[in-house]
Amino acid sequence: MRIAKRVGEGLYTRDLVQLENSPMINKVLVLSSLFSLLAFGLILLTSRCSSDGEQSLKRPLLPFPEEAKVLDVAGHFGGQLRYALAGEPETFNYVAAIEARSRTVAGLTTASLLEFSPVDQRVVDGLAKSWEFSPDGKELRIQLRQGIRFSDGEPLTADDVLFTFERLYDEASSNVLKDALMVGGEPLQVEKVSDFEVVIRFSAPHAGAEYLLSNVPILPEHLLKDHVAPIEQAWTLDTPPEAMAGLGPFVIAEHFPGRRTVLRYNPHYWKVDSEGRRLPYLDEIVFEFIEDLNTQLLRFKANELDILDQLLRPDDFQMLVGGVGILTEDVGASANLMFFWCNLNQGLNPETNELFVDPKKSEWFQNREFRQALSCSINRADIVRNVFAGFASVATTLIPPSNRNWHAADVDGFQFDPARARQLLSSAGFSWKGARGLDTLVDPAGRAVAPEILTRTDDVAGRTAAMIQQDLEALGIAVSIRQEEMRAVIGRIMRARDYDTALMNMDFPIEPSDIMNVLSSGGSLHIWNPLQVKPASDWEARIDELMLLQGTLLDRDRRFEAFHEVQEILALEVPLIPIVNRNILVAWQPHIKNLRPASVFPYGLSEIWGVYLVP
Amino acid sequence: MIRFAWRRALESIPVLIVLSFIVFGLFKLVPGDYLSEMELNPTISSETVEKLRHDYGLDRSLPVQYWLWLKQIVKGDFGYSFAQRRPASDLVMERVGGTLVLTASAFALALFLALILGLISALNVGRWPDGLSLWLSLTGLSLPTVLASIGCLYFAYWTGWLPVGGADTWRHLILPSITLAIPSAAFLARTLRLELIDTLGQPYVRAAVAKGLPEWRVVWHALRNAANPVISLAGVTLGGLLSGAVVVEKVFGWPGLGSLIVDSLLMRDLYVALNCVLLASFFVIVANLFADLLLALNDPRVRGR
Amino acid sequence: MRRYLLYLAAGILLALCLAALVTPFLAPYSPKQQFREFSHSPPTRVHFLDPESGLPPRPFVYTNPEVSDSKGSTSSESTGDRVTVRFFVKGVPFRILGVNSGTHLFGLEDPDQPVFLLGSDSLGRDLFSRILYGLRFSLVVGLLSIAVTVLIGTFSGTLAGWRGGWADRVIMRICDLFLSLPGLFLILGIRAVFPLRMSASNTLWMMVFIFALFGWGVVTRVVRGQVLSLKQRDYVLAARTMGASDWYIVIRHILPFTSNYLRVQCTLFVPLFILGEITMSFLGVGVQEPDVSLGNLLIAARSISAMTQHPWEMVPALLVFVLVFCFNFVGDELKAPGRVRPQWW
Repeated sequence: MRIAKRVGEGLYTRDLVQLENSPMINKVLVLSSLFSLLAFGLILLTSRCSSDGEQSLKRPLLPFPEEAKVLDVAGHFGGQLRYALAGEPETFNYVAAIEARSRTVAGLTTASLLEFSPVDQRVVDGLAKSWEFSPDGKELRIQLRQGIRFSDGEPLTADDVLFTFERLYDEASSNVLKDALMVGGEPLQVEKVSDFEVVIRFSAPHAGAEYLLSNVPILPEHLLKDHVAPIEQAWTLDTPPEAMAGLGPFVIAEHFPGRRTVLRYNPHYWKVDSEGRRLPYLDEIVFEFIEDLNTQLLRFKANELDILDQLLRPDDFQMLVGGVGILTEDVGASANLMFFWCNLNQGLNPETNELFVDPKKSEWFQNREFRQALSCSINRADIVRNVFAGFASVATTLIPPSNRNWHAADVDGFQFDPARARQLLSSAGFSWKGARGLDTLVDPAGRAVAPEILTRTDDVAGRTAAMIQQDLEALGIAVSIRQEEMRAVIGRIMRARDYDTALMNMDFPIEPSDIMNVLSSGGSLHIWNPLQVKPASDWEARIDELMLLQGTLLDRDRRFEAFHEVQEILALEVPLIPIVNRNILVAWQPHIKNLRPASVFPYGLSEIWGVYLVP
Repeated sequence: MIRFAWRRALESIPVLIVLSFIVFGLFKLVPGDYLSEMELNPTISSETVEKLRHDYGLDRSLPVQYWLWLKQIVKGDFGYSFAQRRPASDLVMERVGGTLVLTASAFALALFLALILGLISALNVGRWPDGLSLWLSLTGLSLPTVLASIGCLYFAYWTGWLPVGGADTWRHLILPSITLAIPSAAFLARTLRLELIDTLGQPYVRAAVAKGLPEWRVVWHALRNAANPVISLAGVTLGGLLSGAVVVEKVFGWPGLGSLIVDSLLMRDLYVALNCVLLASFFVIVANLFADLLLALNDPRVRGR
Repeated sequence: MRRYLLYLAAGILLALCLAALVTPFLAPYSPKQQFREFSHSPPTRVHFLDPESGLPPRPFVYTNPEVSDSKGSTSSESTGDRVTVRFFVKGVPFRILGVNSGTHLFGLEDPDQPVFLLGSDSLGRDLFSRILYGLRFSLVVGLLSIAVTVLIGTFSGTLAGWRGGWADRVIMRICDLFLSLPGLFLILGIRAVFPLRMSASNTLWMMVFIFALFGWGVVTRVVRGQVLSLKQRDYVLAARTMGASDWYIVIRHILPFTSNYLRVQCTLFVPLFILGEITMSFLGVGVQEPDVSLGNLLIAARSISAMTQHPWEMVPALLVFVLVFCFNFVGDELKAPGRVRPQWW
């Protein structure tokens, strides 16, 4: 070691201690770092974990229910299905489950009296083997299957059904099912006839009664009767699995916070396959919490996940289509509708005592032809192609075509047609001003039409808004976009109501009665003008009437007619401009058999009891 | 020494209180709350939402809500998670371990890399090892963490050597900690290099060399002298690591405080967010305190003060 | 050698800043303009030679540019009519430095035909133009933030160091507060408060505000330390005894000595701010759709399928890397001990 003065290149003006032709220490350092790099690489290469072959669990022979439901499926037992959730579920209690993750997990652990089949889109028998309406439609007599047991071995009786309803209607409880269970503002009366027969009484005939019951999970009285607090507070993520039991095909087996939840087969499940063997075929379903969609995709490609469905992005799906050893299916339009609307509020804001909407702008929005013209000017096909890479469906009504029961196929609405848009606008008294005669749209009073689009901070919403912006600009309407955080947008729409137009996407329930809150003028989700004391217009009054009517019509055809008229009115008055429905895209590994993906919840996990793995 | 530590700990209490107030204030200022999203569900009535809002105390004014929360704390109750309907502190405690493990391993890795790179380049000023270390550390400093994480993931997928995300074995820890450590390592290495060059130019080092001290002892002396600013910077870096962990945890699916805090802030799960922020700040304070203690350990002059 | 690299890095930075200054002139299109049929179009090949004669006077493109199929490969031969690329063409009007103009550096004869130098995004917007506008936004945010940060930091640091006493204690405790709050959480919190009325310029100021809030504490601490030590210097004491006012001493004798540190800090903070903006975009709290920034361009393309299917969308990532690297390189060189500063700095 010596002291070296380096003036080289005139860079350093100070003496530097320089290790020249460096003896030990420098060599040791350089060599040791190189060596440790090598060692690290070696460790990586040698310690690759070998995944041990999957073994199927030995299932105990338990007594079969006398009246098991026999399904026409056949497969092999054993194995694990690996599925990604975008994060931890919030609860294991289906009654408390609001967001999709909890509903996915908790939904697999519960069963209801009647079941909604997402694939066939109709209500089929569940815990009830048969059911019958009284002639006046106010009474429903239900026969339970005999011999069904909860996953912990306790038998199911009518008492559990009574207990469930009792706890759901509990004063102190504010569970999310309660509202849907109020028919005509009255709770259902549930009465026990015998251990395996109950009668449910409605205050008025209710057309959606069967669908309603398919959403009520039957809870185990023996486990929950000592739970004093409201029912939705039971069964949180830290409840030990032994303290929970259900009637679904699976039970919660293990939960690792922030990592995964493992569901195991329910040894007492009440469905059997065509050969009389107890379902489900799968031993376990592992829900991995993977937030990043890239990570999900990579783990799927690395064969560490078996199914990708609701979160699969169009671009990623496009890449997977035709990939070697991967099966894909575009299941069709989901119930998630992207829609656009004008603010139709005309009232005073009670807090500030000012009008919600600038009266000049209200004049445009209240004009039906203006709304129709807006609808005509949005090029939905372009949005489908450019924003969704083609994997979305142009929407004509609130109900997507994949909803085979209620979609009004002949209602067309005001589809993309710029010439018609111009014609509608000029007949409403609007005109164009500017150099080329088409530059700025002005209203009858001579003011330029320049509304703002409110939407949430989200890539898809942002790009859709940008496309609408350009479409409207072609019509001479200068639009600006304002993106806000979702909760702020909701607050603005529901309470402050100080926006011009808005773009949003929302899951519309597949059952008309469940959309009541959106369609009826007094509903809190009647987004274009919520919570009206009395209907603001004739057509809204007519919709109110029809919605009430369809709820009471037990005859399916007459009910369809009534709801069809609702869709017609909406298409004519365009309070909401439906744009597109995102498609549900599913990709799965080929060793998964008998998968029946559906366009409605739970998408890829529909009819999971019949899914099996190639041995 | 212990008195010093106590004083620092006491001084941090008002900081934490003010912080909690700021977080509370932020939550009140922003339109919408945890229940807003529920309002978008057609099957839930507005009365139910209002009832829940009342049950959760979200309809109270800011000072009242804050005062109630402070009173709860004295009783050892840190609030309630709206989303998961259980104590927020449980939620946070489940995740704290993950973040600590990740941050600690990333920190150790960063220090190790910084030491090696810093030493090599300071002892070889102007020669190729110095140049190499310069390019390496500048590249490390200039890579956005987001891209680096995705690159690492793709690497893991492509080679199959390491698991793609998850958190089960020590092998799952490797990529996240490397990704997290890179910028800090680069930053510390550059600082160490500068300080070492500076120290090696000091007269006492020259004297030591002239005296014929074995070279490793010269380097050791210089290192201890050069370490002071690096140690105090390392304390600051630890705070940066906690922030960086947010992105890394999200991409690699590592269960830690980072993803919890982002989710709770975006979902407006008030008490969870509050607990997370306070805990994270507490860690930063502790880290700085630790850095100060280490400084005193390393440098008798600091101890004297 | 290193000196030339330094000049190169500084040159790149200067060029990028200039490009940001005259973005509307350099960019052939507005960042919003959509050519919808050209979704994810790969970079347009500009032909300089006529395939037949071998020497045409002007560069040209074909009207049917290559369209990528789902596998990401592009068809090799272009078809359609030839359109000449012209320089100084009339296009979308804009305003730079108070001058109204509509002249763009280059473009096609027919303004409705696209020329995508760096390809297009899903809506068929020209990535080259978007990157330029994004660069402009990010640089303006970075430079404004650093200006505000240094101003506040120097002021409070000097105040704390020079005054001492309660001012010192209060300022340093506030500093501690912000430094102990992990930066990202502060950003998330503040960003959440700002959703009200977000026009483009508001977004910009919000970013500046956040970054300044994030950075001022660091500057304050160091400046305070320097002021404390400078205060004891003989020449300061001499100036004092000669009756110089506080202002005079601070401005004449103290601040000039902190400027060295501040210059280095500036070059090192700007890349931090640029990276910070990317992280914000990643977490969904950054600049939103109508505006373009390097961060949201990069995040929009942040997917494995984008990398494999339309790799040209990763260009913003490359640009960010180069930009940040150059800043760091210059900063690092300036920090070097005893470095003789280049004349221009």
